[in-house]
Amino acid sequence: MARRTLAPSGRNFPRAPVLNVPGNAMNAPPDEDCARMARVARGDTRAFAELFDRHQASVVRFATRFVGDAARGEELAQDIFVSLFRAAPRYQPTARFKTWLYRVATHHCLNARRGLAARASSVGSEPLAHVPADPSHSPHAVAEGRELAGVLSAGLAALPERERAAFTLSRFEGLSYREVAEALETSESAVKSLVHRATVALAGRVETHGRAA
Amino acid sequence: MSCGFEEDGVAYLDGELPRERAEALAAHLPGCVLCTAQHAGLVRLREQVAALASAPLPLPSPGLRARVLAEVAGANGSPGTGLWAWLRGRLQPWMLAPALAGLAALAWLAWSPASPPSPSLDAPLPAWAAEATEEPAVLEAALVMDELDELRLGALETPEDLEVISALDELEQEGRP
Ligand SMILES: [Zn+2]
Repeated sequence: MARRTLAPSGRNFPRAPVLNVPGNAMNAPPDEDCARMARVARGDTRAFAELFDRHQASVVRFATRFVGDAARGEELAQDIFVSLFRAAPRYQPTARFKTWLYRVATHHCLNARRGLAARASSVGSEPLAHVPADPSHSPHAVAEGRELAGVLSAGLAALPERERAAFTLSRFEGLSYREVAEALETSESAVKSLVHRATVALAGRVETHGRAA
Repeated sequence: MSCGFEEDGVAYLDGELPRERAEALAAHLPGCVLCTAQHAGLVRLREQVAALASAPLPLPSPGLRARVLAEVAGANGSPGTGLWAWLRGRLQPWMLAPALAGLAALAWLAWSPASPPSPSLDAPLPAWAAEATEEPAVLEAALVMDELDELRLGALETPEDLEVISALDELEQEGRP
């Protein structure tokens, strides 16, 4: 798979010490990251590196699931974090940092999907199929799990964009409907509909696949 | 025929329905064939997706951090496009030595009492010297030294940096007729 080796304006950058952040960054008090953003707004690259270290895994995961391709997901994550840096001076800590981050991320992913559609590229369905083989499972069960992952992945790729975004944020990233609504800049009742429709559509796909198998 | 609860099944399972609505659905569920059938499918799907969500995705490549920080450093006030950015991308610490040696030699030539005639501060540099100071590598070296000083960060030559350089070299080779 193609891997982007250098950003357009890329330059080798020394590694800062890896931050040892205990626990899940997403459960940390929101003000910590808001304070970091205030430092980033003043051009503090170390604060930015801290934000990156805390949230890169979530952002890459979200983008990868959204576009259905690990390499593309990583490219998008790069764009998302650079946008975050550029937007820092305008950042208002009205929403929780993670919600705002997902808003930026969703925006990029939606635009990227439109770009992909314009280039008539297909969306990959590889990443959801990365189900590791559990040694306690029989080879048959492992194969079944991978097949199901493939069906869900293809189903996710076929969903309308906003349904996919709402479903991914809610199911995979664990956001509440209210947080999804903030990230998608819509109402909670709209999110309820989006998540419902996506879930019913995917359940239908799995059922159809089960009957055909 | 509609029972009015068709759009509530997932929110109910997610605990996102207002309490009164959730209680009403719980009471309605056993008596509604449609809702009961849908409910079973939704419960199953939520479990399947939860299993997928807990399965680890491949880790982001370690180069991502370097690329993001490099791009941000580029966005943070220094020029970041075209040939200049490309040169910046290729610069390695060992390249600083000849560049700095060049600068030192230039300074020595310019100020040494043994070099007649001694130029005044306002005098234009000889053509060769002007050319030398405009050498991108020299200017780049000064910039990078400033940045390193500012950021107080470690060595540039990580294995990933070297990988990037070699990948660029390969691309360059491929691009040649
Ligand atoms: Zn019903």
